[in-house]
Amino acid sequence: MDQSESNPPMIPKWSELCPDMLRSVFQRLSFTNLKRAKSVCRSWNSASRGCVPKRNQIPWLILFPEKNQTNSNNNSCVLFVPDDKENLYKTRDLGANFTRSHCVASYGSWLLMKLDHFRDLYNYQSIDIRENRSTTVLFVI
Amino acid sequence: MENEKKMITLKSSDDVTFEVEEAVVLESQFLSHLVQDCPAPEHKIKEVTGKILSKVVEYCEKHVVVVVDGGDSSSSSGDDLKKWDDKFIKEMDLSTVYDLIAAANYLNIQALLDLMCQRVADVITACKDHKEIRETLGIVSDYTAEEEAEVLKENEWAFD
Repeated sequence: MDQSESNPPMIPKWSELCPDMLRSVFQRLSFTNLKRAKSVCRSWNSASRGCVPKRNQIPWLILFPEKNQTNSNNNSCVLFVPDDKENLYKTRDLGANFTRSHCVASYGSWLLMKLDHFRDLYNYQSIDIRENRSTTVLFVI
Repeated sequence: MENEKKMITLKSSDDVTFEVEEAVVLESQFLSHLVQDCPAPEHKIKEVTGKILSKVVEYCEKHVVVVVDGGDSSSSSGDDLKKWDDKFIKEMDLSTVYDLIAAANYLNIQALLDLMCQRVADVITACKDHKEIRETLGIVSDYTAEEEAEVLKENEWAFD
């Protein structure tokens, strides 16, 4: 009957896809691709909150900054993500404390770090679990 | 085992009709309920156009046939189905993918919805950064310069 409505080509509005559908797309992305998707537009960013990326098939390789380094500008890790083909990433500066800590365990994009001295924990998302003498901190890269 | 297959007619928003077996309709949760609750020979689906409904019918017909013929769904038929799915999405433009996501969601066909969402995820994965994602999907950023700088800073390591 009303054919005019179906004839003009509709330009799909991917930014207006409903949040449930967006999340269904996002949970199929790798961790790094999800981060890129967040930067596309506001609706994608808000839909991606709380969205868990696909678990990586191959473990990441992380090179930690050298300990006792005096140059405080270089507290970032080098990260190799095999799922992203040849990409090599440098994390943001994770602070001097990070270089003094060591990794106890990892899960997804979280690292369980053990610190001998605890101070100045800001600048990154972290949850601290205080123990008697040392502090264990969960970092997200 | 029924000898006579029950046929059902689906009519799109633009009045294109499709005659399909009942088993095909049962692939959609929404249509299963519709057919059970109102046993009319013809069902109008106002939310889906003929172009998109033809794709939905094509997908459901393929998936029904394999389940019925394969019996235990042997691995070879599973592989064939996967190949068919791959071809089905590869030949599809993104505008059709978009409409099929809406249709599969509305008609509640989870496997089709999964397939379409995977296609979009593959498109995003093939892009090297957020700018390329915007270009590919025709998205105009609604971030202010400050907001964009902030979001990029949060995730900056992923952009090396």
